[in-house]
Amino acid sequence: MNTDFQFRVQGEEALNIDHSFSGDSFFRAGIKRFFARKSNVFGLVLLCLLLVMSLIGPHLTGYGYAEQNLERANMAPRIPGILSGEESLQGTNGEILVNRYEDLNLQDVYYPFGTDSLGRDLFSRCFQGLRVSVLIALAAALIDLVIGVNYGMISGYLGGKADLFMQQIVDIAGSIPSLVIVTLLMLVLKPGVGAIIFALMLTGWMEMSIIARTQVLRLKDQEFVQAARTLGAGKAFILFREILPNITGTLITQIMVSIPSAIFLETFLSFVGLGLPLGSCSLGRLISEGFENCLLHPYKLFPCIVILVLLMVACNLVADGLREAFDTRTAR
Amino acid sequence: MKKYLALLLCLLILLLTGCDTQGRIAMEQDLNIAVGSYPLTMDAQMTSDAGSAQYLDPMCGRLFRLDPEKGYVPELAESFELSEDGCTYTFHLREGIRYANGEPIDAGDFVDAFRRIADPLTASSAIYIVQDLFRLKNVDQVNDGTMEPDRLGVYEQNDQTLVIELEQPCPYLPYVLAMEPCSPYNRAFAANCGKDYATSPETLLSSGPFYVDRYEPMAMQVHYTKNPYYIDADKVKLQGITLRQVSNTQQAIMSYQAGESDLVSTGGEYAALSQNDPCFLQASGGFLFYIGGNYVSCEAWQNRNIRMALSFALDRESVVKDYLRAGYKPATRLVPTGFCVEGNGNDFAADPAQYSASCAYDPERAGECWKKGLEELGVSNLKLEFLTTSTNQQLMEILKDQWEKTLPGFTLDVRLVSSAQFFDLKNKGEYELYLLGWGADYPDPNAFFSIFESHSPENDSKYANADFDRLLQEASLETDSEKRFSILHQAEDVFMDDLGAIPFYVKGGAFLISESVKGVSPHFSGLNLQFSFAEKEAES
Amino acid sequence: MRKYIFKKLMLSIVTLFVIVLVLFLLMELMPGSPFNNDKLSDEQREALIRAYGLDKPVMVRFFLYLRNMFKGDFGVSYNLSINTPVLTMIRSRLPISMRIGVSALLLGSVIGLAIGFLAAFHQGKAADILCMVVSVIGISVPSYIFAIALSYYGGFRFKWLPLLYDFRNPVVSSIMPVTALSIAVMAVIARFTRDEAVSVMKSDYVMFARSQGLSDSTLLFRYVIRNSLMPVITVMTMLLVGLLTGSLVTEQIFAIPGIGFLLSSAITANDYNVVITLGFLYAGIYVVARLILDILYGIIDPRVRLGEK
Repeated sequence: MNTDFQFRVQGEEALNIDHSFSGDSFFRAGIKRFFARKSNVFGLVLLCLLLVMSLIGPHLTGYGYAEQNLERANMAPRIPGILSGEESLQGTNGEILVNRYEDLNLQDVYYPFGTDSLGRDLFSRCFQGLRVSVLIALAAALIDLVIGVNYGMISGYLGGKADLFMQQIVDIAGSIPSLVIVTLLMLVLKPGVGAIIFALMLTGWMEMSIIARTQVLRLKDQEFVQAARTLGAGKAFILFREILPNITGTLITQIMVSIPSAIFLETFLSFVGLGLPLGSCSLGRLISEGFENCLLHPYKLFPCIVILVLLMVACNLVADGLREAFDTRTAR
Repeated sequence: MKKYLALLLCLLILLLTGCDTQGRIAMEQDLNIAVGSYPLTMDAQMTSDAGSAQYLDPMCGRLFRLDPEKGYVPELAESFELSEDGCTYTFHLREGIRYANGEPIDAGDFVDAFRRIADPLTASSAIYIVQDLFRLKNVDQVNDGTMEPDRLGVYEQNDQTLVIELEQPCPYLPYVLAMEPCSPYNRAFAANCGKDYATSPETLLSSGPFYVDRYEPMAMQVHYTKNPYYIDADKVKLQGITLRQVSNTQQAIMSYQAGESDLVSTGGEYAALSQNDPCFLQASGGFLFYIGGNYVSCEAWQNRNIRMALSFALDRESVVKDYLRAGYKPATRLVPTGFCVEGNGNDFAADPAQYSASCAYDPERAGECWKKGLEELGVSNLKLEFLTTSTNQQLMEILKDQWEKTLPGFTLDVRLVSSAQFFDLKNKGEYELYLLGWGADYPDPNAFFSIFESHSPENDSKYANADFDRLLQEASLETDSEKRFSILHQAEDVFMDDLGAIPFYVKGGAFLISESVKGVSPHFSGLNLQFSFAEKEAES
Repeated sequence: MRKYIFKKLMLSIVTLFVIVLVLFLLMELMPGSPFNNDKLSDEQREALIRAYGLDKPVMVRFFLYLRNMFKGDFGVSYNLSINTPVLTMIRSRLPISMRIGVSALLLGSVIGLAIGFLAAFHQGKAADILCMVVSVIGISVPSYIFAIALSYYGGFRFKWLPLLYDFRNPVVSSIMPVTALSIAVMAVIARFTRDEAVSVMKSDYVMFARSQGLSDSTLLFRYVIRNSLMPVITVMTMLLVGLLTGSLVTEQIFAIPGIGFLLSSAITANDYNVVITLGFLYAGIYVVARLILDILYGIIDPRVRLGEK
């Protein structure tokens, strides 16, 4: 057993976790409840599919996500048998039908999502963007988790003056307009993935800590915790071995909720022109690039928005499912 | 509860649709213009940017006004005389010129304007007009506080006569005097407004064809009404003008097509699509974008072969044709083609390919120069940092791609910053390469040459070439137009041979103008349009 | 009760103080100077820095700024609108942003509440699924996408409404921006209302009331709506601040002279006073809204104020 969690031993043998109340069985029951609903399973499958695509998607078409070809800029989507690569452009004098593939005499060239204004394959870019966005969001959520959960749990468990003080800090930090701070931070720090994660972390941990705190407050007077306490378990043991397993469901739910908001913030930053350094792509940047002339070439905006929506739907479905499966209020 | 909900919804809809028809009618009579920027200030003597100039143009009367055919025409001035040495101008003002509040404009108001610009306490960015564009007598001493403002080389002989003394001849002075900061300044009016001067319609005093009746600081919508006291009021056909800031080109074009705006600037693919339509106006540009480098600290940039290699590896044609599109042109020399006409009627830069020995796309020669350059530097690969603003992101991606593909062992490290940071870093010299645009303030090659003169404050890259400096100095003292231009040609030869900076592209204007609007002409820089004397036919 | 309000008030003041301090320090870290006009000479730049007192140490400037703030002087803009008092710049813009923000909030909340309750009462049925779909799409699609879609169809294709904001008919020309902004609000509120109402309906007292044979409509209005409304209002105040800051892109699309655009320009142009004032304003709105809510909670629910002790 890890020495960090060694507790004061009263008798000769180590205490065992009380399985009937804490930890695993509750967790397992929650998972069972989760899979009982079809929409949850659908969300999970969708999420897995998107994650798999984010890994293999950028390599499917054979065009690298950063490979430029100015001659082939703004090609409409072309898929054998489905889309011919024709598009109608709205000029000042009415519509014009164009097929750039035929203009350039490209026979066996297929860009399933088309190309952007630098002639880069949008299919590869979309999934590369998905990968980057998910990575950013996950990293931010995990850091949130570490800071927020510890802060919230400690604050909730200590209670009294310490809790009041810690909550006031959260209150103050929470009222600073996050967009202002994040934008300022992006200018102060060197642009890059690290800066975005740092900015996200600064604004995300408060929510996580509030949730962790309420959960701890709810659980800390329950029987199994009291039992552990009377048996002489230390604070750390109670917090991390007795309470933490019981609130894992809620915390996972919160991660699923914070992923969309992280992606959203990244989208906003890209739109304002702060964000990732040159050469990298993310969903946010793709959306802001597609937005530039989305009336002319809606196909540039469409796929990345659809991917974003699918990702959000998946995250939301899974989060909902988890919440219902693990929330004791609804899971009676 | 449902009743309340319904009631609330009804209220909301009422609140949202309480439409007033008057607004609609006023809109149809005005000239509605969508522009990309907002005015930094409406205080004419404080401006130096093209965006603010557009907003000031309708309300500023000046000695001269730009004219699409004649170059410039007198506006508030009747005539002028030039002394033998080309350094003293005497302007005679027209009779009966007035501000929009009916007060007369006299020569003293122009004197006040220039003194205000030169005053160190004003800290006006327009100082470059009297310091660099032309050299007003004693301006440096006044600006650093060693001389009283009344020693400035501008004074009134009487109410109708204004004298301007220069330190060296300036053949294009009337063009510079047609800039907005050179409009009259009513000191008494400004003193009355105090700190609030030029922040609201009440504290703005117009001397031009229109006065402002709706404005707030950093306005996104400014409205102008015809000024009845304007000297040429009979030539002003429009009753009102609305300028709206629409930063999104897409939105501006939609508003044009929906008939909400009569005049918008277009760009990119949208411009390419409407290129052949009668409503499309393309203005050849006087806005040069060039790649500069740090001559002080960047060893690689000091090497001519490296500069040559960078220039040869740059496919300007393809960047313009496939990315920047309509309105832009590749820049292959310091002075853009179609920008300046010599005294004999020839284009100064008639042949864009004249300097193909240093400005052309040629990967092979790029490779050769690159190899030689690296040898001279004694390195096998090179990494350079490129400073630019984040708006140029895609352009930089192209540039990086082209350079790194053509030049083996080259890494371009692009640093994207906000425009505030960009100018700060540039002024401090903390960069290796940068992309900079320079818009000409007067249609003369000197507008582009002077920024590379070694002592010029605009010369951030600290380019220094003794031959180039000498030729420019000779040209500035030469009063004979033909000789002057031939010296300037030599100067361009020297610069292009040395490749002091790499010309990249020229930005011009691309506009959509409603067919009911007549009499709009582009500014010579190609960035703005001049619309104060336009006409708008009422739609039936 | 008075003690409770006083405590909350003090906390709000401390919060605002900390926010100004944080903003001040962040602005200090910002690279670049506010006097970044390329055409200013070096001497002029130094003169400006001296004239505005930017050469003094940070803490000195901070306390000077605080003192001026108490007098109602928030400084002048350095470069966005040269020498204009920041308050003058905000005065004309805030009402427009507020009007659009509040309209969007109201519109979104009304529809969101309706959808949310509908979904809660018909759990698992079509209405519930619809609510889910609407709220997920509303949350996941950025509002500027709605804005551009609306302006394309509503303004350009069918010419129902003006494309750009126009000061000559402000009401009609704000319908589209309000609608675009309200969708996200609607989605969040619908979602939240549903969850809240569902948990109220599962609570013991509603179960009990139902077992006593109370009719569904009485149940609905007496218990469910009333009890789930309070948390929803809390969410609404947070959304309002979000609307004011987040409407930046929408403001640009419709050319609305609001404060979102002012803020983003000020940040990228290093216009210190404008950023600090706006940051303070946003935080102020949030803090005041929170204060009012806290006090309301304290009055309605004694547990809240006693629990604080």
